[in-house]
Amino acid sequence: MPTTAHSPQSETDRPDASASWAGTASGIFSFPVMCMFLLAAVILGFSVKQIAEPDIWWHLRNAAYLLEHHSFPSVDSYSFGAAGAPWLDHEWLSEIPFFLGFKAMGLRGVLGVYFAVLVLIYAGVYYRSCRAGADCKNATITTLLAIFLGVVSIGPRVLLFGWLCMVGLLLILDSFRRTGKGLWLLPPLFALWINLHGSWVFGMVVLVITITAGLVEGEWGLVVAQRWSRAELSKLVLAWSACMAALFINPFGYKLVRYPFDFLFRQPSNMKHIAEWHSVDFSTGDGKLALIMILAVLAAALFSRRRWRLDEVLLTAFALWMGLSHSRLLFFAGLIVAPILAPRLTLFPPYERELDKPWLNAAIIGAVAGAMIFFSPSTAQLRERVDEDYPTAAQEFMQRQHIKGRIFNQDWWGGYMEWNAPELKPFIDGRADIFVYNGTFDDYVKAVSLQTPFEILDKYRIDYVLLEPKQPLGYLLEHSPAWHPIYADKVAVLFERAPTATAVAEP
Amino acid sequence: MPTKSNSPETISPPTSTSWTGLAAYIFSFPVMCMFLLVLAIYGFSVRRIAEADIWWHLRNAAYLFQNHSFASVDSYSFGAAGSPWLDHEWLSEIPFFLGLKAGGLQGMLAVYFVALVLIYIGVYYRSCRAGADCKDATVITFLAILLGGVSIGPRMLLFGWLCMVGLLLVMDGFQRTGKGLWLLPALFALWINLHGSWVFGLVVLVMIIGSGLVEGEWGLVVAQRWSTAELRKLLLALGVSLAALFVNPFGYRLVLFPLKYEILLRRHDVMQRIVEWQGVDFSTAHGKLALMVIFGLLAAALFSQQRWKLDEVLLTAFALWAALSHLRFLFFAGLIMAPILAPRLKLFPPYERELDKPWLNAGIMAAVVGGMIFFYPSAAQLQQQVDQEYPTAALEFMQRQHLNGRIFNQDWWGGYMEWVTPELKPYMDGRTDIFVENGTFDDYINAVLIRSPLEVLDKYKIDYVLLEPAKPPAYVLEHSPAWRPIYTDKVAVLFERTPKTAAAEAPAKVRSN
Repeated sequence: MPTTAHSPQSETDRPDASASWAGTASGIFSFPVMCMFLLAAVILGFSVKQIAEPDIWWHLRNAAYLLEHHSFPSVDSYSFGAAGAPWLDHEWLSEIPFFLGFKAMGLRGVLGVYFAVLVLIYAGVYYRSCRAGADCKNATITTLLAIFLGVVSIGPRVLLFGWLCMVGLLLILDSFRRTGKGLWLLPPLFALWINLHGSWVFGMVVLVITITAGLVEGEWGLVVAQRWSRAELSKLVLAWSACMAALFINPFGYKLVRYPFDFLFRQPSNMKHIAEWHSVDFSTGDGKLALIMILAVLAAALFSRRRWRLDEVLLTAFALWMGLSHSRLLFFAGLIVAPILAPRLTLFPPYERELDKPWLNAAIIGAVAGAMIFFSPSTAQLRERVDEDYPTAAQEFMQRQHIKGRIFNQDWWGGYMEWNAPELKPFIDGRADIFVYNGTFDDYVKAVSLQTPFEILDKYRIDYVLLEPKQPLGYLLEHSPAWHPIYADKVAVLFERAPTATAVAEP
Repeated sequence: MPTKSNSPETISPPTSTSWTGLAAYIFSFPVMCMFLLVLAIYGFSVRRIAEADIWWHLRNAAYLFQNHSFASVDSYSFGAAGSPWLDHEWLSEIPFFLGLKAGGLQGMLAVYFVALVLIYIGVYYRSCRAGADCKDATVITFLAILLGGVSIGPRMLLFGWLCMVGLLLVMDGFQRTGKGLWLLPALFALWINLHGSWVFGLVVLVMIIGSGLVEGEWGLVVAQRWSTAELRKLLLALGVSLAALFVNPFGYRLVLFPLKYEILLRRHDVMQRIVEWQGVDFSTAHGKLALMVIFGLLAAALFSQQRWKLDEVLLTAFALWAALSHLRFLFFAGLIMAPILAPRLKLFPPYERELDKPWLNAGIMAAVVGGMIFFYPSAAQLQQQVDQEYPTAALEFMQRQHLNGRIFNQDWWGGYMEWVTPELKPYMDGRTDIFVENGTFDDYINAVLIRSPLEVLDKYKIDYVLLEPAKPPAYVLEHSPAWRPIYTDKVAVLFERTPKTAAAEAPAKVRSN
């Protein structure tokens, strides 16, 4: 396998070897570093708008439970729809930083955590793009494309830690290709990854693709494959085996290793009904970005004379397949495709270090950092964003009125209710898996899609229904003598079962 | 611009004029492959007779033959009764109507089957002429057929795509011989009367002309400039083609129709409501085919040494964009991309004419033709297909009961009602444009998406509602005291307004806040 370094210009984003102050300053305040700051500003721009993530709340509750009891919640005690059902806290390690951030600084702390993770991820993408031989300006453009593709998952999401591990894996493999070293980092990476997020499976696929692409040798059109040397292959196979073993270093043993496959094969409803698992929709912004990505990949293949390594071809195909089939995996596609596209993109004249102006870069970096601090949202602003999407006022109403009973809720509000008003146990939350297992999720879908809503509300002896306004189910309840609204605002409407009404008018 | 011929010997006529030579040509392996493709087309066609829009198209054609004039206002529905309307696909409606008159549903099937065969023979022929081995061309044409599956059926659009194939053949001919452009104005004059897809033809033509305005090499891509004489001919053909668009019974209104239709659909967000106008969903079979196309293109670019002409690159990008953005254009993508991909696909060893076995090919061709004739569906079988998707029995019930009144219906049943029971005027049909313009479509959406169904039914003073069973609107009516079901079967449920109920019950008000 080739172990050549591709990167002519990539030295540019590394500090100058000179020990002099001026040399160090020109390394720190270089144009490539300034580009990275611009990318960080873009990331912040997206981050501040996406604090209201539905799943973060039950993740916080898990972490609170863990730090309070020094054990994992093994059965559900948050909802009534799956109360007592066994449950695996499969992303436990990712929940802790968010919880600590929240404890330290409230919502600003949560924002700080995922912003930092995103910056690390995209700094990795940018760095890999430069190292692959791209000019820093072209690398900035493709990293920007990757950021836009990733918007679907920007927010306080545990998945981000998984993608951070993915970038780590790719960096290690790059380094191994260049130096023949560094594979010892893989087992600890996978041991960490499995405790952070189920996306380790993607890491394993990437690793296997990279290894197998070096089992053949040849040239086909623009594609070239070079066989690993025997020593390289031994190291890779050993590292892969150690990674497989490292997956079992987790508090749940084989169950956590099995979990992603459980998701794939035992939770079809989850994928069918959750928007981010759906295919890319080309009428949306994400879809148009996906189209740009496809056309850019084809253009790179047609208009650039640069050869493609076989692993690059296979990884691109895998990333395209995944990203187009499930919009949430556009993030992954961006991580993979950007550094492959970057060196094939020649939009700008090459960066020349001699012409660089460190003082100008320093000023821009200072301005960007200052603006990020200045425009960083206050807790009240973040709270306001949350209140625009979640039924805060309705919840307060329920607490004031001492409302007790079984509440049927929009699934994406369940976690929020569990975190902010644990005494109001919701029907369902965003964990999905536990509700898919016991059929609650399917019943939820039957109710909100008006297949058999009254029957479901009766089956679970629901007393209250908390919905977004103008939902089909809300319309039905408004026109049913068995239900009446007792609270409504812009975000939510709360229905109560009419005291003496016998369920529903029979069809 | 390159005018070289890529064509292998696969399709070109034999030099020998002897009977054996002619037989060997007719019963050659490439021709046999084409018969296999025809069989695949036939397999799709026989299952797709139940197309929602064909019925009101038939009614238009019947009106034209009866009145010797075009229907200029709506007289089929009550939702848009009296609204001005343009019969923008009038010429395509005639073959279907004549087919139906001559052979019933079997005749209609024959019409679109023949159109499809002509289209895909064109694709196969172009693939072979582009330098592909006939086996590779067969595989890639089969992929194009699968991609086109979304529009197979009695659809006017097929005549538009037939014109597209014609356009591409004319342009291929011009690139090879420098001749044939005189056919373009005639083609566009025909096309605009058949279907609005002539706009795509114009885009394709402009792209082909535009890509010959530059010269150069970039990676695998090569562009060669047109000679002055070629460019003059092309611009003249383009100008005359534009003028030819006005050769239609509606003048500039038909030329402007596609633009007006596009604006209307976008303004009212209609595209998101009609499945075939939505983007490709990669979880479906069509989506997986689209993914195969993307991978095929990537593989063709990376693994084949063959150069790409600039017009091929531009057409591929345009077709890919159109198809991924709107499912219905997967058909178009198949037509464009198949002949581009075919010569880059090297799945099989090259066809060798000397090894061909005409008697075997003839046997297979005869078996294919015989099979198609033997298994050609009867009128009863085709009617059965229709009855599985349309409320035939419910409409008979309404006729038997002499039900009269305003009927709110599933939009895709409207055309069928207009054709089968013209006395029962539906709320709306699949013509979309006329209903979008007067707001009926928006109200339909508000009703079926349960935003304000009871209010919409009250607004239009609806007496009967004809819906698919077990769907949200039916559930709402089942649980409303203002409505009661009076007929139900597997396909449809018919609701009647409860005689003395004062419309829909007003929604309950919030007690406290």
